[in-house]
Amino acid sequence: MKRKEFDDTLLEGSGQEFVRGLVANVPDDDLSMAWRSSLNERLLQTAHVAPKKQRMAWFLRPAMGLAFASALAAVLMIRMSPPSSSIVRTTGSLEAALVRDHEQNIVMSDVAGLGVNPMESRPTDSNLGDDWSEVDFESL
Amino acid sequence: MELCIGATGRFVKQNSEPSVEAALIEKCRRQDFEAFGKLIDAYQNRVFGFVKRMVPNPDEAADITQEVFIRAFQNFARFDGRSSVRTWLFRIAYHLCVDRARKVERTPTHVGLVDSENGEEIEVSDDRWQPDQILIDEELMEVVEQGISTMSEKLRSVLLLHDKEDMQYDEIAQLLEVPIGTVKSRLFLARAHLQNVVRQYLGAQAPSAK
Repeated sequence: MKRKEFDDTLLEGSGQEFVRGLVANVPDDDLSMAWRSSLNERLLQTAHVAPKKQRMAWFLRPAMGLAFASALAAVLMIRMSPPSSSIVRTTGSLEAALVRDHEQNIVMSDVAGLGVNPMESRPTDSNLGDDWSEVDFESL
Repeated sequence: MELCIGATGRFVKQNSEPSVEAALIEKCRRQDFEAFGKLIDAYQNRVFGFVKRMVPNPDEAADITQEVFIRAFQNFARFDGRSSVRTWLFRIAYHLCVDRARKVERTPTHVGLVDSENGEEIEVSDDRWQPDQILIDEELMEVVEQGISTMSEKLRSVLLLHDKEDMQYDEIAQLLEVPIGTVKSRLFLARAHLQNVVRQYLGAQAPSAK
């Protein structure tokens, strides 16, 4: 249903114009200098707060991005890590490998004796001569 | 080419170059205190006059007026220039007054076309009546102020913006976000109410509502 258009002539009557004149002549109050001073202070505070916020935003935006990326990476790593059963299997094969290695070392030492592997070498009496100084030689 | 404050408290371009006001607005966008100070000088009393009549407490009105300029200063970068600075400032002021009214949950006295006391329809105007003959004195102004304060917020805002601030219907419609027809009908009702108040004050000397 279309609304009826407002009749503009209603606003042009002398009574309406009289009221318009009255309202237009209603006096304005002036604001005090104290009010203006207070406003200036508030505006200055506002102007100082704005760059602070910008600086904080400059720091916080990348920091928050980095934190989000780290959290995402952590979640992905946890999800992609192998289940605990595989760890058991790995441990079993490791034990077997250690045992095999140990047995092999025993066989090797039985066959060739100590010293095949430089790590297994022990200091012998022949090495004692290394500690002699030149003075000792001269005294002989 | 100089921008100054006219007698009406608005920007007056002595040489009619539109770039002067545009330059001032541009400075305000960059939060230039001096430029914004000129804007405050031009509009502070007018904005305060509007707010004071929308909010009954003068101290609160002064605070809201400060808030209007602070918000304008903070958000000047968002001012798109589609409306005038004056319309924009009054829009901020209007919304702050409405927000404040919502907070205090004040119930305004609604005024309609029908006189609530007598149940009679308010008549419109009398062409024989000569308004110039009425002496506009302080007492009458107080009555007018009182009449304005007893209106609903919707009627009051339209009356003040049109008759006091001399805004156009389309400007007010844009500011209040209502159709132009609504602005006109509210203006008519507001004036009719005020006419009724003044008629009661003036008694037998007052013109009839029509």
